[in-house]
Amino acid sequence: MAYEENRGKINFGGELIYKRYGKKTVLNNASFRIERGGIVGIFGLNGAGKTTLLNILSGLDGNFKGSLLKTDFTDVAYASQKDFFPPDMRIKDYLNFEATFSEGFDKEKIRGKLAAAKISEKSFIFSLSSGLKQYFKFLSAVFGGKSVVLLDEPFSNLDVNLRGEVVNTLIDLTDENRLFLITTHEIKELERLIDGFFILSGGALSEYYDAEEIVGKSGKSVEEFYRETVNEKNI
Amino acid sequence: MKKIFKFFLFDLKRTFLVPAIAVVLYIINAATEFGAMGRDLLSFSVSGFEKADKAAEIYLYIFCGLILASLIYRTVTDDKLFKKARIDPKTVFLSRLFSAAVFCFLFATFALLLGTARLAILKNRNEDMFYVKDYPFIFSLFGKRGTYMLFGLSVGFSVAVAYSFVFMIHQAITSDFHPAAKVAFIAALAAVGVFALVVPYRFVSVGNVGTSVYGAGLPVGNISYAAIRNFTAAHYYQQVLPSPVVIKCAVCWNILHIPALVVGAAIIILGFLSHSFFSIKENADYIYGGKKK
Repeated sequence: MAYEENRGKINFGGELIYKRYGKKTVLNNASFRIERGGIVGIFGLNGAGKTTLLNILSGLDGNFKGSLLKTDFTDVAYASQKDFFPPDMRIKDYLNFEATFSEGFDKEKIRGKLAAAKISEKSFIFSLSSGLKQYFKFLSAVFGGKSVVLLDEPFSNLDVNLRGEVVNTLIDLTDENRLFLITTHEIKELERLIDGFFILSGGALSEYYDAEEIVGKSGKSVEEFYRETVNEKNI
Repeated sequence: MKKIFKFFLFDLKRTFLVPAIAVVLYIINAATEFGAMGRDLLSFSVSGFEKADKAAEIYLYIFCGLILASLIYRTVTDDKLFKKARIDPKTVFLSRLFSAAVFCFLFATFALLLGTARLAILKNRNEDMFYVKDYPFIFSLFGKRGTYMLFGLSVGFSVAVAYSFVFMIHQAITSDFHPAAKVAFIAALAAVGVFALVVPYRFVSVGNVGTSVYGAGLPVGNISYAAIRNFTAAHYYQQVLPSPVVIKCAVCWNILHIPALVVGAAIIILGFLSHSFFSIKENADYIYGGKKK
């Protein structure tokens, strides 16, 4: 199950994570371990528990059973789907806030990316379209200077240009000392980037699949493999 | 420590967003008054003073409401961000109380300076207007420093107590506790609230703290009927005291009354401790009804 490439040590994951909402069990003893940096996907159908898992891994949701391998959440950045910005906050205020309270937050890089996308720093965050807001959250997470970056559906609502920007940014930032853990339904977008992936189904995580190995051995794309695994094997 | 101070400055800046309206209200209030002067309405009748007194009282409620609204608004909007930025909720709570206190102090200072200017102008315009120093909402450097301080402290303390209540309810609602446990907690908190309002009048005060300082005899003793009816001793004070500023202070929280002060401080400490309780996962698991597996 371990991610065994010769890269920087990360050691991220969880053991027997159990979470329920009311009577519905969302995560049922999900376990995984990632030991090296890179880009790793978590794929699953709607309602599989991907967002719940990221909420737990980021430390935002502390009410669960099980244990986490990394509990220093100050070293984890998270671009969640849910908004966490105060409605009266402007982009520049948020950048200043993060620059003050998050070590390694690269404000200038984000400013450059925003300018390229023609997003004014004076804009109120709530006034941005959902796509631009998603892009802004993505930038804030990846340039946050953290060694683990969790991205929840980073491609949702993005137009083709911004999708390209997200992919290019991830390519630029990938190094052996950082882990990008990404949940998405847009597997095609991620296919050429990821080192490997897990499939979340029935509240549990599959074994780790090495993307290169899957494509090399089966001759199928990651998306095809995923679809077959989920539908035919019914995991 | 440096980070906490930076956070305090950030939160203080946010504090000024909503209650800044209070300052605008005060300026409008002053402008209206000078406007009336301009129309040669130079003398107030007795009924005019009563009206002004009532207006000042309403103004004070608006002011308290705005500060409280600002604290609640920021609890709802900012806390998600602070949680994500890993800022300790206790730091947030304390910082918010301090920033509210600083705001009250600055606002009261502003009122003092503006009141002094207004009084100076009024005296300059008409010698007979010297008695406007009794105008309930004019704080001036001409001998009212004590009551001004009392006012600022009273407003700040009242907001801190009220916010502590709101903070605890917010913590309870957003916690992972069982709904029945949340309802029980909020009911218990409501009982504490009623107790907090009644207790100052159930016990005889340790002494008339401040009586000699402010030159106004503050009544003490068992007047719980008035407390229950009016929630504060303001009504009672109005009946027996001529000093309007003291009345305004009592409308908020009688900080000159030792039992009231102790109960208020206890509520603020309770607010500070509540996060520790609600954030303990084991507590939630236990109160939730045992193991979830």
